[in-house]
Amino acid sequence: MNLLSRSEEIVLLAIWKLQGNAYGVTIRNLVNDASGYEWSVGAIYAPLHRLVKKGLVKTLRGEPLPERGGRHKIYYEIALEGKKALFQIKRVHETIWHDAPTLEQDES
Amino acid sequence: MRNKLARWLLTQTINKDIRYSAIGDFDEIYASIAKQEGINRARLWYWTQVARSIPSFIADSLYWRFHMFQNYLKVAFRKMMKQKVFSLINIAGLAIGMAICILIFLWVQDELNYDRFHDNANNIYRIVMDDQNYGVKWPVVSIPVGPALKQDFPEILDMVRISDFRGLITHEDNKFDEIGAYVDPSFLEVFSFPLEEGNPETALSSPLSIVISQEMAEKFFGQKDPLGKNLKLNQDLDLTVTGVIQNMPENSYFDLDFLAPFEIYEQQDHDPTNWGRFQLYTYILLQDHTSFKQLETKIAGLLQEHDVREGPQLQVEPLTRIHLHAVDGGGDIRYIYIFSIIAVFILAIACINFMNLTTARSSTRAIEIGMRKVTGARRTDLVKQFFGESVLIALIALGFAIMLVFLLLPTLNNLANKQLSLNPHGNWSIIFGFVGIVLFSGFLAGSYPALFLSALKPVNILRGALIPTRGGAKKALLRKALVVSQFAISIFLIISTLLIFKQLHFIRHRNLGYQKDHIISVSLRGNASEQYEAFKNELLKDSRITNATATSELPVMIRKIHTGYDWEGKDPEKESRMTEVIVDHDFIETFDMTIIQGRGFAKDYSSDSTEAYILNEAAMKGMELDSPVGKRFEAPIHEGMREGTIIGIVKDFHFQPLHDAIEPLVMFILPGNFNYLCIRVQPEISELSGTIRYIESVWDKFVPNFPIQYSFLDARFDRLYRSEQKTGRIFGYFTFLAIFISCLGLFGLAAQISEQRTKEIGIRKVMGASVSGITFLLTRDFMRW
Repeated sequence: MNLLSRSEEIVLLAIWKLQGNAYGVTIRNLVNDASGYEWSVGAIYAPLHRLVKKGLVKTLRGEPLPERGGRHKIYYEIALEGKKALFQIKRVHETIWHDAPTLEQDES
Repeated sequence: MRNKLARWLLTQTINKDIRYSAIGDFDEIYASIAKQEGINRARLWYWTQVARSIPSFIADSLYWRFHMFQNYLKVAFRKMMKQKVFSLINIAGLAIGMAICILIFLWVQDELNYDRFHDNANNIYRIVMDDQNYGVKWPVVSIPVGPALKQDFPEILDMVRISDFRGLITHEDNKFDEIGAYVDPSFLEVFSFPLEEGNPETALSSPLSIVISQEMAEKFFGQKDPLGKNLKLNQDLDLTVTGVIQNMPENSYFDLDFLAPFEIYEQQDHDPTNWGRFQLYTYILLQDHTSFKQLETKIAGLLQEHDVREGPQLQVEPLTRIHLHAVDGGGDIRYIYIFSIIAVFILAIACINFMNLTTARSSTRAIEIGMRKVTGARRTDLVKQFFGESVLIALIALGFAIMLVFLLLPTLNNLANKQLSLNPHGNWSIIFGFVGIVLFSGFLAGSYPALFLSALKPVNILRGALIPTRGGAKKALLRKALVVSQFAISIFLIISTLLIFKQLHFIRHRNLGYQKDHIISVSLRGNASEQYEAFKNELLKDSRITNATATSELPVMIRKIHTGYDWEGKDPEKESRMTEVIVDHDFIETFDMTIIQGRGFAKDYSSDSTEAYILNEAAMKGMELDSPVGKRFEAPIHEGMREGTIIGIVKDFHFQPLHDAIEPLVMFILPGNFNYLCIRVQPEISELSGTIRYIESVWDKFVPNFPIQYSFLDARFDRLYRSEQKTGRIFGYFTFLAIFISCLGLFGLAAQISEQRTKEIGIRKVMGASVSGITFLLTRDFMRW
């Protein structure tokens, strides 16, 4: 299986972390906080769309809200394939980091 | 609502799968910002977000569209690779068809663009003299016409008179014959021939100046600065170079190497007040948005106001129409039509191939369509897919076609004597042409599968109830109709080609009434005309030269038409128009013409050079004389009438293009009016170069100032029909290719059908059918076409 792209990985991880409360706004907030800069809504949705199409993420229809213009929230939830992909990525990271010299941010 | 425009932009760009959710998010965040920080901040946020998000959304949409496209592409390529012969035939046929289209397109474009490079192209017109009494229409007028027009009509901004000639130009030891013209100084303003050096406003104002082309400047002065240098024109006129013009472009009616001031021409014994001598070209520059047709009605009778005899009317002809429509233009609008039609025909043949082969294979395609429909493809998707597929094949074919064009372009340039190139720089119409050809052939060729196959019901397809049962006959009918029309076009082209070749054969082998072979014509220039007798006697000393004579015009093309002849028994009411040629005593023997009544010119009769006339058969018939020999005949020579007798009748010979009937002709001797010396040489090829060297040495002895200028009469004759021959050859190639493409298609169709009938053939063989029987069975269908 192909590895995910970086943005796909981040979005997928965010959905996993949010566990059931993952929809567009929360995902974006989480990613913004983690990365330290503001992602545009489009930048979130492009990888999200690919994840859905690849079958890594499922969608669930939530409650309609007046501030969404009466639209339903669309929740995103990790599918089995998504879990596998996330696990694979984690393993790749760990395997490569294992025994690598410690990395410290340069203060100067 | 608040951000209508931003919302609209969003809905336009977001892929429909995520639109609902994403727009909801936008609204939610907007609402929360509005609550916390105020509506204005929220609005600002909304706009910046939209601006930042749209690129991502567009990329996302394209990504998925491309994804599906990739799938189509993959399927298309797989199909192509699986059916190699089929694809090869399709692509080869289309590529050849397209290549021809592109070549013809380039050629037509070049022809149509003649003389359009002038800034004033749409306002420049030429004055034409139309004499309906004599059926003569020629774009020459007399000297005073131009200035009178400019003076009398305010809408005429400027006028240029041009008298072109061939002149000998000398500079120190360099001597070259060049074609140039005497022009009015306005030439450089009216036409757009930019000066490389010199000042366009003053370049031609001095009567002793000359403007030369870059090519000529290089020939005479090399790298040195030509400005201010001296050039001698025709050995007697010292001119100073005042300007260098860029070489005149290929697609220009003019092809001049130097320009000399018009004053020189006027001083050369050309009376500037003579309205009746039609001798030079006159161009006028009109104001913008002036109707030249209106002007034409105003100026038509100008000549009669100045006491020119009844008849000649002035007409106006746009510069841009000269090349294709005028008598002296090099092109012919009919060729443009013919070749454009051929281009469309050939492309149609190639497209028909494509359609046929696709329909023949539709049954295999049907299953794929069924599958796609079952998995959720809509009809529009399928239509898109099939059109996409045929456009793809058309694109591949275009690639090959462009390669073919590069290969064939030098040949075409050679044949058509042009400098065409496939250079998209600054030539947008070629790009549009490419796109047009691809879309045209792609959509035409893909129309059947896209519109018909996509409508099939998946249930029927997958159940196996395929088209062959009911639609089969209808489909085969369509196919047959297409093949029949394809071959009809081919046969039409074959017949046209045969006709053209027959015509060309006729021209080549027609008995002209004189012998054009082994004759060298030398133009008599400088003082050659005066020394003609001595020159001729010197030539005849050599045994390789059998005969020599002189004439005013070469018998391949005699054009001078005169009127006002008189003869014994002439009906005074009758028109007496004849073509006239001035010849020397031995003209008739040299050209091997036949005298059918009376005798030819002879030195024994001293009166022959002053009062003898020979007519041709056509003249005799026109004059309605039974025994014309010995009758009185008068011709207008030098303002007066010269009285004489008809001494003989020559058998008709073709002195004009073979397209025209032979007209009445009169020949007589008038020393000092010869333009050409015609030399009949021994037919042995091996002797030829020696003979020419001898002629050259004699020439140099008599006329040392001018280089000799000679040509072979048969070559001149061929040149008259060169455009016909070239067109015929090009037509022949195209026809061959059209037939080739049709056969290619038929072959593909046959292969396809035999493949589908493999099982049937197997069973027939098992049952005992012979090979010949099966061959007959398979060919039977095709023979009918």
